[in-house]
Amino acid sequence: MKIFLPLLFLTCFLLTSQSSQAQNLTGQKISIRLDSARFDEFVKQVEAQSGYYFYYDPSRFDSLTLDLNVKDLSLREILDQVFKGSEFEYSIDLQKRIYITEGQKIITQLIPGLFNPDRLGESDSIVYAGPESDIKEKLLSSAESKLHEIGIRKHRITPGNSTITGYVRNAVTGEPVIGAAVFITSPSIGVTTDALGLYALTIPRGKQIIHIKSTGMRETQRQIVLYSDGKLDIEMRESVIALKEVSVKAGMDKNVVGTQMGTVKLTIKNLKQVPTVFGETDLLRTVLTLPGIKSVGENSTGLNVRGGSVDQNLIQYNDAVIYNPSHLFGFFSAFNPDVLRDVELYKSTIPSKFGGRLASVLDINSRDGNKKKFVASGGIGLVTGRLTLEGPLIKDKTSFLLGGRSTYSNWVIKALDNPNYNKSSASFYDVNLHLSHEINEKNSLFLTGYISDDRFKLYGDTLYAYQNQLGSIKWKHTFNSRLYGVLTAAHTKYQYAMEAQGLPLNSFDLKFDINQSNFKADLSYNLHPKHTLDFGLSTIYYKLHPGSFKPRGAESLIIPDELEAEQATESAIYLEDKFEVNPRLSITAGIRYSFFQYLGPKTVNTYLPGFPIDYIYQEGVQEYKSGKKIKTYGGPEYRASVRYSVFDNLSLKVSYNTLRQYIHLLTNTMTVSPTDIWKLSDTFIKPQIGDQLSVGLYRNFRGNKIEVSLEGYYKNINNFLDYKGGDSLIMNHNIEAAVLNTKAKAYGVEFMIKKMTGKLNGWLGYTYARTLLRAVDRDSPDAPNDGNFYPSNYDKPHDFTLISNYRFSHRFSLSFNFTYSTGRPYTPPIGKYMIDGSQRVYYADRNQFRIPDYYRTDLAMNIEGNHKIKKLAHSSWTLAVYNLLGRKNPTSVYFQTVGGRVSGYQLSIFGQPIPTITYNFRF
Amino acid sequence: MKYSFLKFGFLALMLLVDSCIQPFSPPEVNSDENYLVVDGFLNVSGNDTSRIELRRTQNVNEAAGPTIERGAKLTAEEEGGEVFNFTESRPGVYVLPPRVYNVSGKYRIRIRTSNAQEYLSEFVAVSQTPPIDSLTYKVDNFQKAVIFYVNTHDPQNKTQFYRWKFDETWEYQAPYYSALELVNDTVVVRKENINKCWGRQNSGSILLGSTVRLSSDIIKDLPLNTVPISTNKLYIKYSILVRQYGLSRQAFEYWTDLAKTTQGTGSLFDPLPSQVTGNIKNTADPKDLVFGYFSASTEQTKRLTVMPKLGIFPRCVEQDTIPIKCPPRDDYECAGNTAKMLLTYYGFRSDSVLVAPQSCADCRLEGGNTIRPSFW
Repeated sequence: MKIFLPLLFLTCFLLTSQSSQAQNLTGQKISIRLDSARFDEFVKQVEAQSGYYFYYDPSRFDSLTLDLNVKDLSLREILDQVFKGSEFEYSIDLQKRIYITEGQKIITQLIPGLFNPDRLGESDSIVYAGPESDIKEKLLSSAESKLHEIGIRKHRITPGNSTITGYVRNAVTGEPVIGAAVFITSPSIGVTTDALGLYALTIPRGKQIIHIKSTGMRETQRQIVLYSDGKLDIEMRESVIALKEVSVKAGMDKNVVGTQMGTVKLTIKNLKQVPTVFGETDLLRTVLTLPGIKSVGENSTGLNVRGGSVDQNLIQYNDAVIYNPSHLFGFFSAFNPDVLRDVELYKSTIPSKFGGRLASVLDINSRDGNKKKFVASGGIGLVTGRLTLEGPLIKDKTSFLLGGRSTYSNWVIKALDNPNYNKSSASFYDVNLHLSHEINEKNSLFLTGYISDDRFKLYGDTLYAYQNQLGSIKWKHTFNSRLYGVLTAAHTKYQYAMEAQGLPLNSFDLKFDINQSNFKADLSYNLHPKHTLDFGLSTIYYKLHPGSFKPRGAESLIIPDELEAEQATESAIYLEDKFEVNPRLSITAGIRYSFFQYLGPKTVNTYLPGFPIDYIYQEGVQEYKSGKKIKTYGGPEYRASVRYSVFDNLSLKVSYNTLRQYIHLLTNTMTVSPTDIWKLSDTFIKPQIGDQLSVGLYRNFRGNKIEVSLEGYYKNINNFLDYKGGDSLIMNHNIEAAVLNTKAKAYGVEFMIKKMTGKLNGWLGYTYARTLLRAVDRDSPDAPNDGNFYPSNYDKPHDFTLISNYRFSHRFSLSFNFTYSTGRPYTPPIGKYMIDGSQRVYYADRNQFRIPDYYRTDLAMNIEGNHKIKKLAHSSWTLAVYNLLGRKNPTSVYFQTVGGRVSGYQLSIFGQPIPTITYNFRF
Repeated sequence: MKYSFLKFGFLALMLLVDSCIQPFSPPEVNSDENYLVVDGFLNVSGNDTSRIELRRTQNVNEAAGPTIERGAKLTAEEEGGEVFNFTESRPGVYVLPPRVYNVSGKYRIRIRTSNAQEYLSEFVAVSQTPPIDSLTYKVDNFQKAVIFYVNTHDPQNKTQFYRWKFDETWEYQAPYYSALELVNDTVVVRKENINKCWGRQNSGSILLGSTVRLSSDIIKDLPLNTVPISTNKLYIKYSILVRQYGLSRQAFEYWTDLAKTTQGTGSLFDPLPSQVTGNIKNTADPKDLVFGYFSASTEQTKRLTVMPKLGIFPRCVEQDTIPIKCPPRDDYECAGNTAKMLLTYYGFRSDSVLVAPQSCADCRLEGGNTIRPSFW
């Protein structure tokens, strides 16, 4: 590729040389004879004979000696001979000047014919040759050098501020650049682009230089003269094509400057560097390496964020909720890495626009398809394969992105020798379709469709299947330079089914599904340079079919049973103000009011007043007609955060949140299983309410290359659900009698060092966290541990994670992970007794002991193909070893009565090093 | 190599890699309490003896046998009716002779232990057990085992919850017949046949069934016991006695919970262990745990005896020949000093004997005994 020539030369030589006479350098003949002469001697002789004048740095030549014996050669021939094979370059301009430089030639003329097309190509001086194959490059460069006039032109610029708005886009794909910093340096004012690449920057009028920076993009700038409010769209180029390192200078930084706390954004590039067990980039598993996020076991992608349970995370894919984000028992996450752009996780400051879950928001965004050309990409791993197609439907306006992924695991299972596995099968696939369309400058439309499907059958008699289906449509509208809004409508369906056919008499079909339709409007108004208002409303309609149980086959004697459908609406309005009090202090304060209605038709059980809710105290039932309100819950949720810059690059942040959750996952197993049921709040099951206070210190070092953060939090959760021992949750007509209201408290400290740029990048996190639960009714016989606090299943106090990646070259990088965590709590048996001829055990208080600590190291190697832009396919290989040291980390310990004796066992899932190889391609 | 990686990956995926399950010995965790264990039920059939055993819980790592609770006073009480006294027939075993019960009544048990604690159960209704219709079996060539099934039904659709226990008995042989034994340093003909034995084993796990989701109260082909052919139990003759009990819903839940927490817990998708106690409480201290569930029911039994001739004749090392008469030197093996079993005379003058290790000729070493069962 052509070396990128700084623009400087273009401007320096703009006003010279074009009117000079053409000279024929080959005409003049020179003869020189030198023996071990110094370079200045050579210069002197040439200058004397030719009339040319040399420009060079004598200090570079003082140790150089020359032997030269030439006769009647042209100047160019002599210079060629002298500098051939050396690192020096020369160039000659039309004013008879010779410039000698090291490494790079000096451009002495613009592209021939730029100003006078008639005289094309008659000069042989060094001309500026832009990357001619890439006209875009030139245009971008000129966009940088051009002075942009914004607003209505005036002769006198009145002092004061005006607002510039516009989109920041990727020059190659046309995709919006999200989270790009757009700022001026004096005074220091900056903003970041939103999810559509839009920015609104309010700065003093007059001449300004706007800088635009974003990770993975080449830094750029625009010179502007700002007269009044106006528009400026900016195109950026990806930095990956520049083999020379782009230096990233200190500048705006979100970590220190924003009021956001506990927010982590990972781009697909970060995700791809983290080795995973089956070699495929896994979003949820990477999120699990961040401080404060835990899971019960190695196989589980259920996230426990700051002591929250798995159902307390709002997982959104392009604004549609995903109920089960995993494939194959949780070994894979349900997101195809090829279509992802980034994921943003909020764990302490949750913006007012989000609600409905207590612990966190995981906002996953897909890429937009390439708006300029068709691209196919994909990968082949050991158990999965994936393919993505993208391209423009209308060039620069409409694009599509279609991705598919599937597993070819069935043949592997079939190939196993063990007959037990032969009867088993497991398969999954997912398909994504994303369309983006730019109607005009003020309106864009996005459509997303997603479907994932899983089926597995163990030992050949029961088939489990589950599906996620979702669709969303998003319309982004800019009303004016200060107000813009996004309207979203989405529908999500999650369902599972079990088909049991072991015994013909007992064969059954079990089905469960949940449907949710939601609509929301989010608006942002730039009220004042110091105030930005975010406001909006949302509403969700839920319809759940909690279970249908039907006979399967003619012989089956199963009585059909169906639990009544449940329906409810959940609505919310919110208002949030971001107030920049002064450069040191900024406050974000928001209020969200959420409102939930549990609706008929439904038959609700009634219980004897004053007695515990248990089926033995059931009094009768009460019928509600369609649309009738059965139970209403609602309340305000407060969201506030404050940032104070103690001094440069060090800030203190405090945030307080309250949240409400009206839909719950009922599970009584250690790991969330796909067949757990979701339940809406009803007459008996109250909404979960949580509040969290966080305090954090943020400091950036080495010009913002290294981000260090320390956060502490304390959280209360009310009406957390736990389960009475042994009650079945499936097809339970008295589900309210099976749950136990619990109070939870969680607290912890999280420390993180992050470096996302440079050859060595990655993060290091340490968390100390506790999560404790206690039954609300402390005197109930069902209350675990006599009604005292006990650790939750995912209470792992110490957690240390190192994720690192070292890039040896642009084509080869090495990733290394290390994870340590305290073992999970378990409940050991403390006594045994004989009953009915065999030995049984009884257990200690819940979760008072811990399984052995967990540690694991992984290593991965990424090998990229060459970096030629023009070639058929770009490919890369990933070789990885998961659990390099082969430590048998126990996932669970358990005790069984086998042959009348009590024995303890530990189960480790990935107890050996697991090597994988994946091939990725793009063309 | 790549193929084996694939295989490994999937084995791991299936969570079933044998090497991934290792023994785990928990740190010494012990309970100082010795809680009361009540094992048994009130047999209301009118012609069977009711039997309740009282024991105490032990530490998990306790090697000694179960601690027996002696000297307690047990009474079964009918709601608003009679009181029946149990007597201690053997230490810790309390019995009540057969008598006529009111099967529509409710019963509870009262236990007064020797340390002056009183325990009382809830009142339970009588569960009538329908008879077992049939026992069947099938050879499963895939699992290489024989599976025994139970069939029953309640025409009144009232039972709905069932529990089973079974006793297995099988005949087996030692590979070699020992016809001789050494009595007072003399080789004589063995009186007892120790080549043929009967092995016995009881069901260790909790076997439950429910028809509550079915339109009629029918249990059909419910697998109760799987006997792998490799156990050789099926080589000569095998008999299974199945005991069936009807349960109340609460009793069924108790046994289900007990089974779940002590048999199933372990897989990642199994419920977490929880404390399972029954329907018996200390009248003075509700926090005192009592294990066991008191129920009143009848018992139905059925026996199936089969001779599927599956398995192989047991094999052993080759027989050895040693002289009967011991030479003067001690270190020479002879009938008088061998630890092996004497099988039969050998040689033209019968001056030698054939010998084999004990385990080849004494079937009792495999756990059975030589007492022929009455039903054989």
